Amino acid sequence: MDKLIKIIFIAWLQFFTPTSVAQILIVHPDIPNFELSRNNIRSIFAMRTQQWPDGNPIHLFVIDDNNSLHTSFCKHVLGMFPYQLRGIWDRQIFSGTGIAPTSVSSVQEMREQVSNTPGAIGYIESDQLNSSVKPIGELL
Amino acid sequence: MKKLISSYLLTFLSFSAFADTLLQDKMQIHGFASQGFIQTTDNNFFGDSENGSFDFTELGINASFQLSPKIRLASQLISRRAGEMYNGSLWLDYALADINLVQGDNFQLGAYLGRIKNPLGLYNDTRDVAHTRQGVFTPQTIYFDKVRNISMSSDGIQFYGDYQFENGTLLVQGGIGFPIPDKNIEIVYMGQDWEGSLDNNDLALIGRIMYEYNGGEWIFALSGASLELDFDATLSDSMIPLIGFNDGVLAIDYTIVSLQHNAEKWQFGKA
Repeated sequence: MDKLIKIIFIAWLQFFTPTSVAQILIVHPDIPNFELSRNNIRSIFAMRTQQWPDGNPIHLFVIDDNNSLHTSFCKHVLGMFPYQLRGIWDRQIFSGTGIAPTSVSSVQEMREQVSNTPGAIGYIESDQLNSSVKPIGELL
Repeated sequence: MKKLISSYLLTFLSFSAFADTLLQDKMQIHGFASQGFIQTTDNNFFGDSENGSFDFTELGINASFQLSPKIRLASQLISRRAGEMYNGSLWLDYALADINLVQGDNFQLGAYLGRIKNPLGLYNDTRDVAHTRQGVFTPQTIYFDKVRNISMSSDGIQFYGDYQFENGTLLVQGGIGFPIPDKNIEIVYMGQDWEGSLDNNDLALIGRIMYEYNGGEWIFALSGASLELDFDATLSDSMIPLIGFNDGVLAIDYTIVSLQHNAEKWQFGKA
């Protein structure tokens, strides 16, 4: 009986939960599978870590600050708010201690840039993934 | 009791430009411009603010160039007009070489050489850039405007490093450098603009240690500076009765404890 309730409950969940779209990290297809912690990823997005563990340069792409994909990505994957990242970049840009990432204006442009730029990392919605880029979301 | 109520209008704009596509990876140019309006009920601050003052203009332009994978060059020029203290003349804010010495899986270590912004508190590094500070002015108890140049930058070497722990990141920056004195130092600490001069022959110690817990949800920082300036008095300086100065040393020690909490719509800071 318990089992039956469980099955019904799961079926009910499946039925009523809208198909959720997650934000996932994508990298250039030639980048090997590195083990990256959440803080490693945060450090890459803060533009502090600028090399992959194999020594090759990282090229970070982000979507405009007020884009909902950027907001969701910051909150759910990085566990940060967009203004915090912007604050870190601004502090680096205007004190000479670092640089800003390359900004793109659409998901299509993000996917294109990440697939064409060696060392690239960025993010997209999981339903917009194709074979031109490599997802690394599973590591988190 | 001093009463300072200020109402303000502050507009700013910032821009980013990329030289051209070939250079795009290596070269970044950014700038900022802001114009303030200050009105106070008592006491003037940045111009004749009791009658409303526009004497607060900040302009800046900077460039960063990646010379090689390990070496980056960066410099910023600013013009700042603030009451009678600063007249808007061009000022070399920083000009440095950033050398990335070691990059590990969870850490990095590097050095800045040249004129470097002093890492004091949470805002000193970019306090002239309106959109990076939380208020119209930075709090004057920590970020004095009266003697700002001496705390802004120094000419020397600073090492930097960060280590990514499980629950946060430790960031350290510090080193030695010659402070950059101006006439305002004499006026503030020594009562007036003397004929003699303050020399920056002694190296200052500057440093900050900061921990960003959980991606910056909480930020803790301890920073400080310790410096000495030699005052070379002229004969006429020492002849002035009662308040006259002979040669001497002006020593400044400065420690700041900072705490910041970042929530979605709120940010709390305590220094």
